[in-house]
Amino acid sequence: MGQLPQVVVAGLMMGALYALMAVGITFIYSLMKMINWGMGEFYMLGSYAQLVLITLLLGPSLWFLGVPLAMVGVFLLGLAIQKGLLAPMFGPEAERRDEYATIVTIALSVLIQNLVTILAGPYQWSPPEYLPLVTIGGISVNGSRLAAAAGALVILGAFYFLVRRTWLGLAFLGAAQNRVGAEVAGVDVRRLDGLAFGIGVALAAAAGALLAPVFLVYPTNGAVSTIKGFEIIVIGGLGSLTGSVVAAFLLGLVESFGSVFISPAYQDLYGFVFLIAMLFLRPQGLFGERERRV
Amino acid sequence: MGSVLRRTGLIGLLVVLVFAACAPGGAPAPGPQAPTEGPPVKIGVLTPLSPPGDAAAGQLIVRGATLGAEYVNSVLGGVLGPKCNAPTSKVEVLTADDAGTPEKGVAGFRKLVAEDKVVAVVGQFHSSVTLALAPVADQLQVPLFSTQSSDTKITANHYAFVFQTHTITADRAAAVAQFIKEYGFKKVAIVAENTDYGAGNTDAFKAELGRVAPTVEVRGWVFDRQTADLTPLLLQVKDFGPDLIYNLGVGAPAYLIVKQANDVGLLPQTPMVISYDVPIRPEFWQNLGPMGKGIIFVAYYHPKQPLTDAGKWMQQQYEAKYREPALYSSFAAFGNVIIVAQAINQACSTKGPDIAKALETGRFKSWNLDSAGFPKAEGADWHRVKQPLLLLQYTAVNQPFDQATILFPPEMKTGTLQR
Repeated sequence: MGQLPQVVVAGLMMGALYALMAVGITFIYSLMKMINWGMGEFYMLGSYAQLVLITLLLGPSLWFLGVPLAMVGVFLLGLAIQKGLLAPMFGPEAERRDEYATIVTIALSVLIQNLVTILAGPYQWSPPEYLPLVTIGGISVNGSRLAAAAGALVILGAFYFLVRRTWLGLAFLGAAQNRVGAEVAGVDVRRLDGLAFGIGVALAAAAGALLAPVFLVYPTNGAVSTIKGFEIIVIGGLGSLTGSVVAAFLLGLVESFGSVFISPAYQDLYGFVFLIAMLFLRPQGLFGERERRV
Repeated sequence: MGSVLRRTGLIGLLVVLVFAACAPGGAPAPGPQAPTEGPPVKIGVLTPLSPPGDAAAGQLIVRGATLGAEYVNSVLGGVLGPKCNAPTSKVEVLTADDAGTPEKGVAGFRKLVAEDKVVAVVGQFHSSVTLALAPVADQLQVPLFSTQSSDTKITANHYAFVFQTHTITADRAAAVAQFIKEYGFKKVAIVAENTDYGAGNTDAFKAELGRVAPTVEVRGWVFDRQTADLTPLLLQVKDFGPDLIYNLGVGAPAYLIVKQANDVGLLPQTPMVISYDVPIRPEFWQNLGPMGKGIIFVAYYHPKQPLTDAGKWMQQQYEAKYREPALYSSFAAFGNVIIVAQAINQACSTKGPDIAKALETGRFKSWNLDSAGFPKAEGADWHRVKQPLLLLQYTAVNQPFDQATILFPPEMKTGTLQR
């Protein structure tokens, strides 16, 4: 029981980082109504960008500058990918949009993973720690993990501001609620799609960059975070940004408690049990709404 | 006109000279001429080259196997040849990725055999993959070498076409258990991944420790190989209060255990043994920095150990080619390829059953042994060459591998354990 504070802190910190991934997935889904199955690869690209930036260019003390730079790089890549590969699915002649998006994003994830393996090698790397070990109230916490959680909260705050307090954010919300309505009101939804995809993958890159010294950098390091991201968006309610954030923290806590008080061997299973329980009790998710069809 | 005749005469003379030079002993060859070089003999290298396998090890294995082929072609003069009444052939290595997963391994093995027509396959690193391949190797009758996979079942199951050149789980368990007894540890925590490697080593180690040091309290924790956050598990380990941690992770998990054990305050107070030689890799110090100091690890090679002339050749060529010292994975793969080549020469055949028979009955030069053999021995000694096993400790940050203290075996000790 003496471990309880440490377990709670570990769970909340992981929750903050899961939230970045989940919000990115939800944001893209809300606007484009598609699931980006390659989200983990953008996480991975963010971690590599951070590794290169702070080991070769910025130095370890400027790690916090590496995160926004990694995000900008991946945002631009996301824009290009959306314009080149995903925008055609919104053309008038496009059919079977869901299948198209699934195939394109899965193929993209395989391509990115293999390209990185060829270019950077299959090795595991770690940039220097962001901060030394920190002791808070007698609990020792990894400094990089603490910095990553704090960074995640700052980025989530900035994202909230963007979505709720700016014209662009209101346009995003409008297009997410009613695409045709937003278009009629003069919003260029095609342009918003590109921006939404770029912002969504940049959030995943932020998680990868922040966690680079904690969970290492290697070509498949994004696989698990993608799975967690999808668990979270279902638990929180598909399309709900608030639901994604709340579910991310809940998942972090469930995993942390399950590992300590049941068995650490099934750490990744607890999230699925939580997901199944949620589907039984509240199929639309914590903040989702029941779909009505006429 | 005269110059044309002179030129024609010169060309005719040249043609005659060329034919004379090509004919053995200057005499015309009887009947149709046998080709001097036969088609290349292909050896497969099936190894992890992408995650979740330990792809860094796979890269080292490919390097070693490639140098093995170069050694066979340049120093041994290829395979087969006049002694076998056949044209001499060069050896060629073909690489395939098993990604550390049994299904990709089996698919890769079948492709190497059926499409690429390899005569033997080397490079196995993950026990789960080797165990999946073993019955397929027997079915297809193609010799398979366990280059660095160690599960005891690989040899204990007595597969006719599987050959082991690496330390097996039982050896590792015996060495680590002896080390624990010798240094007087009383409470050991095992942190193992949920693979054949992790489970097999945990069971063997517990059994061996129970035999040699029954008073030592031992407890095991298993984690999923894909799990990145091991903090909750390590908090339980901390609660147990061990005086030694046995790290049975491979690849990224091996590093994550060290980093996160440091986070929860287990390191550096509690010594940790890493179950294989990942700390000898170049990225170890960059990834762990000061956390790497004090780490104890199992190694299968030390730069100061004696090598055969083939091993010395490989060491020199490797350093010249890759600008870094050769490591065990490369030596082991190099050794496998030159053993296969020698077996082909002894059998005068490239057929799997003939090579396997030669391996069982012959003696072969490897990188560290002048006379290695794969007899049909009892139990887990079936088809295997026994390798020495060391326990080393880094005593300073960024310490080069060759300066790590040898703690075990006692006859090779260069210092004592630093806590």
